[in-house]
Amino acid sequence: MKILVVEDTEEYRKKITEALLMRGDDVFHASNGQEGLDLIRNKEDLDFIITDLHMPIMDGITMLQELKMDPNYTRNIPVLMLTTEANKELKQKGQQAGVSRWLLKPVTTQVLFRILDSIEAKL
Amino acid sequence: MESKQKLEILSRIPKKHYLFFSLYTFLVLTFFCSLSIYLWENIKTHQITEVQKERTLNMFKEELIYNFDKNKIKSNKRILKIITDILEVDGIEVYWESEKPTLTFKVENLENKNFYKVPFFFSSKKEPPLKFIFLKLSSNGEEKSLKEGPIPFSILLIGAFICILHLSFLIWKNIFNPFFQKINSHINESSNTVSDFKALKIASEFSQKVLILVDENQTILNDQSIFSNQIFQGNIKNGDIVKDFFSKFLFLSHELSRIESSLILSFGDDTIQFSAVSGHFPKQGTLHVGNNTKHFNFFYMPLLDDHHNVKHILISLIENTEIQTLRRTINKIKKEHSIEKDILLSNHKEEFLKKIIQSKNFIGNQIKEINSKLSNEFDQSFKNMLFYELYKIIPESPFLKASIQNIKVKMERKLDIPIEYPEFPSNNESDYFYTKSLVSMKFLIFFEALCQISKTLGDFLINFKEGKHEVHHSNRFIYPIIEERLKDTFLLYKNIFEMMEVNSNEDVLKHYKEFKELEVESSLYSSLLLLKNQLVVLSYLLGASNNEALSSIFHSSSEKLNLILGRKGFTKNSISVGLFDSHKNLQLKAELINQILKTK
Repeated sequence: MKILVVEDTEEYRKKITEALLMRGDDVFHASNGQEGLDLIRNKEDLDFIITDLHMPIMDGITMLQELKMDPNYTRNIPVLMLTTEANKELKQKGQQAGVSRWLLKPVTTQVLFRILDSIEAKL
Repeated sequence: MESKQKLEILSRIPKKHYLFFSLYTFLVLTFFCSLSIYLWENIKTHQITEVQKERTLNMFKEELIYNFDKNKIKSNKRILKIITDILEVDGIEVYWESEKPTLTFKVENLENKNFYKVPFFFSSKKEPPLKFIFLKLSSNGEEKSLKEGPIPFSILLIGAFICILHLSFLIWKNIFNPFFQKINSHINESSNTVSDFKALKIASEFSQKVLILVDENQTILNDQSIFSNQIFQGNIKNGDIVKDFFSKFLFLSHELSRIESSLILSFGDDTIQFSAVSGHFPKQGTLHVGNNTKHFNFFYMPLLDDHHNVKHILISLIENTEIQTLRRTINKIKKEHSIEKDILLSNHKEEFLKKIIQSKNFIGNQIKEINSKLSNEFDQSFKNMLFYELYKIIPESPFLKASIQNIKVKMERKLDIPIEYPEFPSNNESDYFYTKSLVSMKFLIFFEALCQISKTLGDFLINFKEGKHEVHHSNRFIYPIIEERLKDTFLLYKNIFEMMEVNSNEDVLKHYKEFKELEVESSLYSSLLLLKNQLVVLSYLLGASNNEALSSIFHSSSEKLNLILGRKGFTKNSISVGLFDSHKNLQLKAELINQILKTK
């Protein structure tokens, strides 16, 4: 799968990227929502997005909202949101923006792979 | 488009209603057909006769009455014929002071044919004793059954009634059913939930587990059992799962926040999402109840709705305070005595053995105590879990495992004669296992290995003799090489045999240290290794000379030796220790056999 990882913490981004490469995925990464948005618009063959919630410049949900409002972008890519905390309002916002899965940090490779396998099965 | 819609309507009709639907269509069509024919005929009749009917009949009424009074039927018949001519009907029935026709007149073509009966009533208030029915030839004159139209109205009415009933049923079903279904499902749901809650309470009471059902609002839904109330010092029903339940345990604030987030992300989603975040739920917790500290294991089960999304989460808590206490005790004992050390290599063997026996007795008593406590409990699974936990925490103490399994462990290989060391326990099964596991495991390994080596060597000797004879005739080019190898191998075997004989000398084996200093084990081990290699080479050579049977025998012998040499615990050191022990055991065996022989 072609996966975009949007994560501001370099260490964490590296960790996820390594895990995905081990799994055999093609990985692209961005360090904030704005970078992620540019990448999504340019990469037409992305299969999956893993994004952090809290990031500088643009957070994960705003990135997805911007994407949804863009009339030129019609694709519906599944999104996995990584977060350290969650509340009902945030969950609702995320669902409206197109988040299909949620994970709480720290995430184990096993859990991440399980989610990816389920997404891949649906593709 | 229209035809598609029609098809859609037809497809919506359930198959079981097809018969009714076709009958209904048939009856409706026939009904309207009959009605229209009847009305047409009636109107037609009315148009022709209604104007003249009363006037004509009035003209003849008096004369007809007079003739009936005078019983002049012929005259009346003549009058009726005139009336039919005037009114252009096909016949007339006259009722004279009776409900049955007194006089009937039919034209010739009406005989034996179907006709309509059109009743006539005088419009005047004072009715004469005469009644008239006009007969009109049916347009479908050949059907005998049609007396009052294509189908009698009574049949049509019955059919219509059936259809109305059926239609009412369908309408009721389609309109009201969803409504009733909604009510039913609501009733069922609430009754199910109520029964579920009751079941949870009963289960909690009997299994001595805390069972908590949480919904997406993070509210505790079920009534708590007495057992649960005692632990939480009050009923936590309708309370918040984080504030009223998790916060009572010794969790840090960030842990509580993580639990809350995990719960929010679990509800309303599928089981994959649940499994993705359920790792953040706590697995164990500690709670202060009065002056006591209780430890619990937590288990979480998602309960799904009709769309397979998580609707409720069932949290069950099992107390494991006793296991925790026992675990601490065992760790303490392990620390004190460090039972992993090799007793046989220790200089303080007796002291060690005493300590281990003490430990064994102590832990054994602990287990017995817990077992007796649990013997009257309802929940067998809890008991099993306890023993499973015990089994897990002491992986390096096999003798304890045997005790936990209630001393039912069957030995793979039993010694015929018990080893009688003065400081060892008696020869019952558990003590044997204790002995085997802790004290002389290496001895047993080697004893077992020794038997295999002897067997392999024995096989080899037989094979060698047979091989020598057979190989001689098989292949003259390979034969010299095989013969050379066989000689080497046979010599090697002899050396091993001699080495073992030499080492069985009592004077040498009296003291372990002395035995160790002999340094024979390295040559014995390397000799065995060499023997294995020789057997492999021989196997290939015999294969090359088309002696498949012999080749496989040598190959199998080499494999056996390979297994023996490669097994865990069969090191150079263990050979020396094992050889010493096995020799001693053989001596004991021999003595016992001698004694038995003497007594006999």
